[in-house]
Parts: sequence; structure tokens; C-alpha cells
Amino acid sequence: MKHIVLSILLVMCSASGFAKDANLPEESLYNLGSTWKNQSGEDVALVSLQGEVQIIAMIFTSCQYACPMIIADIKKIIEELPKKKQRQIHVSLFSFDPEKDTPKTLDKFSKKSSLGENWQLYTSHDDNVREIAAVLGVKYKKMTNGMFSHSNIINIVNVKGVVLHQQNGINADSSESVKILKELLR
Amino acid sequence: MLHQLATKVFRILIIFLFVSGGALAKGPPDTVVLPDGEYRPLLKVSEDPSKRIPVQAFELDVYPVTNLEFLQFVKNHPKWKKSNVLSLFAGSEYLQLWEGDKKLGSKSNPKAPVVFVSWFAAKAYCQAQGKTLPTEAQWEYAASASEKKKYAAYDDGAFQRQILNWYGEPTKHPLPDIGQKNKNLFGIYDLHGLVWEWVLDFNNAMVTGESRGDRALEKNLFCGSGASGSVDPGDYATFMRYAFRSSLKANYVVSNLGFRCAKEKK
Repeated sequence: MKHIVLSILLVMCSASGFAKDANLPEESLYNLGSTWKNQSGEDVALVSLQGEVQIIAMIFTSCQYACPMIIADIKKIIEELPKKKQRQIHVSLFSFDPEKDTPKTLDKFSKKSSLGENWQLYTSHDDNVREIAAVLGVKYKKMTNGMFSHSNIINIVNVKGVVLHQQNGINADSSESVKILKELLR
Repeated sequence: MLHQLATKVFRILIIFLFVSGGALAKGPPDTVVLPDGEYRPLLKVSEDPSKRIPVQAFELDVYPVTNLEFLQFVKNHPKWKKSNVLSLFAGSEYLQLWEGDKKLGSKSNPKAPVVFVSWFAAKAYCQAQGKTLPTEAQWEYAASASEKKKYAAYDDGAFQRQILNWYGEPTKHPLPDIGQKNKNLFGIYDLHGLVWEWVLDFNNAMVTGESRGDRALEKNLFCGSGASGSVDPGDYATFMRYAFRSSLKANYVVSNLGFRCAKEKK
């Protein structure tokens, strides 16, 4: 009996994962329709992120200060969830830096920062970066030294791509993020 | 048989005349090539506060995009009709002054700049013309010229006041035609004096909106924030533009915010 329920659940999960063009809410960021390359060099349509609860943030890998801290903050949020639920969280990090952040660089960064298998890093061209930053309300600017100054926002995103909460700033209070994630994963 | 052929040829001729006539009616491309120049950012981009940023030569529309032009775009791209547009891309007041999806109505002068358009809509319009929105650097460089002088906005008090005076005036609808006055040294009209304009990187300013918070918070909110800070706090007009831009979101639509397009020089 238990097995049957489990397999039904599994089928349902994978079915929802395939329903790519199902009706998204108007405010879903997956309406952007852009395609990105992940750290394995695969093309990933933004809309294919639907079906999973996502933590989404923007970074660039040559960043010395803020970006490693955003990652630490995300890890902290996940650790506050019950062990069983942690695996259900997917993290998507979008790069500001199409020039330097090639899939190879992202892969190196991922290994160096020991990011788990649910962590995906994405890179694309300037226009896609600009659009996703725009819908997330992330401000950023390329500095003359090749670095980016940018706002640090951790987004809690539901299975349909709707941002439910934004955690602003580094080392900020994460209780709201954790609370919302718990509700989403119930 | 001959008659059929003649009809066919006649039809093709008519279509040809119609198409070429349409192209002619549009006139020459309304853009100007601006030479290499520079702009002075309001916020520092390096440790050297007097630093000016080089701007490579580029092409810029002579006029802001009008209601009539935007109507044509909407007709060709139904995704951008009032009734179709997603809230992710444009707020509920999108094209508010238009009477319908494909009708301007009495509150919108066809020859006036289109307003109540979002960044996404403006960007999509420019893309459809094979162009882009100008960057902040490009726009500021173009708009720093007065009628007679390059970079007047940086040091010409009279020009600065002229811009500020306009900022102080309320916007009245329907707006006047484009190209009536406010022509600058480059031959570009209405960069000041009619509507404010979207730029591609409107979301580049590292401010939180709470001025006292900025200094203490910025280190944690913004990567690389140590370099920010105003270059010339006395330049109020520029300061207002940057403040306005930083208050915008990509789906916002505003009663006096339009746009024009730019293009990289080939």
C-alpha cells in the first residue's frame, strides 16, 4: 500500500515537472521565457524551474565580499529547515557577469563553495541578466574594475515562479524566509 | 488569359506602390549619430570622483516615441495590448490614457510622446525596430548638451536652471507634439522639456530609498558599495533624475515617463 501511494506521488511529481507551459500566474518570473546555461553547460529554460520550491539569488563568482556571504546566508536558511525537507529545496543562482562566468567557471565555483546537487548556477547574455534583475528588483552596476556592485536579495519562490518573500541584505533576519519555506513544503 | 495576367501585374504594381509609398511616407530614419564623448556619473564608479566615463559613438532617436508609433507596434505585437499584457511586464495603468487596445482617444495626442509605458514595453518596442533603449551613460551624455554647448548640464548654471524649472512644472495631458522646441546641439529634440525617459540600466543606483540608512546599511546591502557616493551634490537636476530612476521598477508605468531608442554604431 505504502509503495503504491509513493509511486502515485512520484508520478504526480514528475508530471508536474513536465507541465512546462501550464498556465503560470501573471506575476510569475518564469514568464520571462529566457534560456540560461548551467554549470554543466546545458541549456536550461527558466520556465523549467517550475515545479520546485526555489531559493533564487544573483551573484558573480569573482566577487570577494558579498556573494560568498549570500551563499552562506542561503545555506543557513536551508539548515533551519527539518532535515527531510532540506532536499526539496532547490537553489538557483544567476550570474551578473556573462563575460567571466562561463559554465566552466561556475562549475569550479560550485565545487569550491561545496554547493550541493540541488544548487544550480546559471549564466546567459546581458539582456537576460538585465531582465531577471529587473523583475527581482535587483539593482546592479558594472564598476570600472570589472566588479559589480549589486543589491543582495534572497528570493523565496513558489513552484509557479512567484516570489513570495525577499530577504534583503547580508546576514539579515531569516526567520520569515524559513517560515515561508516551511509552509511551502508542508 | 492576357486579361488575367494584366490584372495580376496590376495588383503587384499596386502592392509595390503601397509598400514603397509607406516606406517613403515614413521619411528618412529619425536618428542622429553622436560622436565619441563622455558622461559624468552622479555616483562614483571608481575611487577617482572626477572620473568621467567614455561613451562610444552611437545612434539615438531624434524624438521620443509617439503614441501613434507605439500604437502601430501594439497592433503588430498583440502581446503588448492593454488587455493582453502580463502584470510582470506592465502595471495595471499601462497605456492608461488610451481609449482602447487599438484606440488613442481624446486624452492622447498621436504626435505626443507615449507615456504610461513600462521598461519591458519600451524595451520590446526598441527591439522590434532593431534598436535598444539607450543606456544611462548614453542618455545622460546626449542630454548634457544644451542648444549651443556640449556638457552644459555639468557646468552651465542657466541650462541647469532651465531643466530644473521644467521639473517643477506639472504634466498636462494631452501632451504637446514632439519636436516643437528643446533641440540640442546634436540635433536631438525633447530630451528635456516634455517627458522623462526610460534608460536600459535604470536599475543601477545603489540606494535603499532611506537616506540615513544608506551609509550604515550599504556595506551589507550592496557588494562594492564602498565606491558609491555622489560626485556633485550641487547638480540638483541630475540628482533628481537619478533619484527618479532608482524609484522605478521594470513594470511601473508613469504619466510623464516615455522613452526613445538607440542603436550601437556599426
